[in-house]
Amino acid sequence: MSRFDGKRVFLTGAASGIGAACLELFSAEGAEVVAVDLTQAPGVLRCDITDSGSVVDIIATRGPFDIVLNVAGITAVQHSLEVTREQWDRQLAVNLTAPFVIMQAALPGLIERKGNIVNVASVGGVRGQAYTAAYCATKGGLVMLSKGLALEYSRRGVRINCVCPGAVDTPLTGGVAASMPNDLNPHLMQRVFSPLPPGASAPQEIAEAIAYLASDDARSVTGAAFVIDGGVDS
Amino acid sequence: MNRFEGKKVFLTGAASGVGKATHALFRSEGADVVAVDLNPAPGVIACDVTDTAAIVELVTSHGPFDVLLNVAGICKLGHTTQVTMEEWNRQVAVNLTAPFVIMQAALPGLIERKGNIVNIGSIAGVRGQAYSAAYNATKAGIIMMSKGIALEYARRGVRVNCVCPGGIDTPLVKGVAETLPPDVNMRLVSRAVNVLPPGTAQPEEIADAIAYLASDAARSVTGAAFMIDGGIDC
Repeated sequence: MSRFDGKRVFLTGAASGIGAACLELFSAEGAEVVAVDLTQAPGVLRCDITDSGSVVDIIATRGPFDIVLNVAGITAVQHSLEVTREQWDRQLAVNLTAPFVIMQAALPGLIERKGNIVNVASVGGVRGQAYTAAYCATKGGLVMLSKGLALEYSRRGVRINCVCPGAVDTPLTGGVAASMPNDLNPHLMQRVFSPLPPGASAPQEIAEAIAYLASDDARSVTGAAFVIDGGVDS
Repeated sequence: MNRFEGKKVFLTGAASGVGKATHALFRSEGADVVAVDLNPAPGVIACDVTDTAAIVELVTSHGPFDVLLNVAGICKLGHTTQVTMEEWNRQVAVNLTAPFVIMQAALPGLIERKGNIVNIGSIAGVRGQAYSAAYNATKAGIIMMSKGIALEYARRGVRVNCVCPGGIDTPLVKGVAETLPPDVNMRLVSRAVNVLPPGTAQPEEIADAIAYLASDAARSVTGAAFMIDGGIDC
């Protein structure tokens, strides 16, 4: 398929996991992707998206875009009592403020090109998860931020959607599992595990859902929070 | 694409609208579709889905199936005080009981083939709509029934999802609009109108979403209620 021939795409979090899978899929389908990440990778610009000045500058100089994909995100599993103000601020900055700043910068071009945005939220944005309250707040915030913007710009022809993954087999979730405290309540942790075998999605599956939402097939879809979680939210 | 090569599909409501578009799409992608509808149409078996014995016999004699698509549905608008018991019962029978009976009959085959089900919910299943309380009840019912069955059969490898359309350009929706009583509050009615231009989706768009959910690309998606509603649910 060549669903994105001639389309200009701005993508964050492109060096690994879902972002890397998106970079591969959108490029394979003809898109010209401006990809950024905090970490160096081939074909990816190095940029800290919480540095508003530099990310806005990249969008202004490389835009206008047809599609914006806010994929970059961070999480941590810990007792909420032990979350430092710095950790809270960092999760908000990466997961919520950066997508807002990026959307604000990209919207004039998106309006001009009748483009669309796909944000990567989480099942943690639609259901509570223990030991990740800050993450839940940022992802719940991103879902409703997307819905608010979807309404505001619907008449201008810009669509804004979220995908809400459950467990995905990525470096982010691997890192989280490695840093978990060992005194967590297993019954609460069990709630976040996918009932559908094999228990975690491949990043390519999330990229497929993102591509569907960003494509013309989804031209009536806006404000959606598409849950791709193996049944966690059921 | 040939996402459904060699797959056996059971489809209800195949004579018009979303069902007809779904029939065309799945056949074009290689599926062997057993299609039923109350109304006769080329390539469609005439069957009333509320005739339990007849529908179970069809599922049994033509099965086992890889994909089950419950698309048949009815809606009648009116002041709730004027809804007759017969109208209530008919909507419950077509929209809720028939999908249950069909899923029950098809599940042994779906388990054997690691198949999946896509049901048509509606925006009316997740948000209230005035003058269609019975329809609201049946569509909310099918969404939660789908989530319950999704959890129950996740470990057996069967996925169960819903699509939830808003306004669609189909005979059902046009017929429904004609049943709108003249003395309704138009501000309430306008809440059910897509905010995204052109205001209604084409049946082919819903068929595309159904095909995605029924395909292997969505192998981690179960229990989802996928909104394709032009932003009504924002």
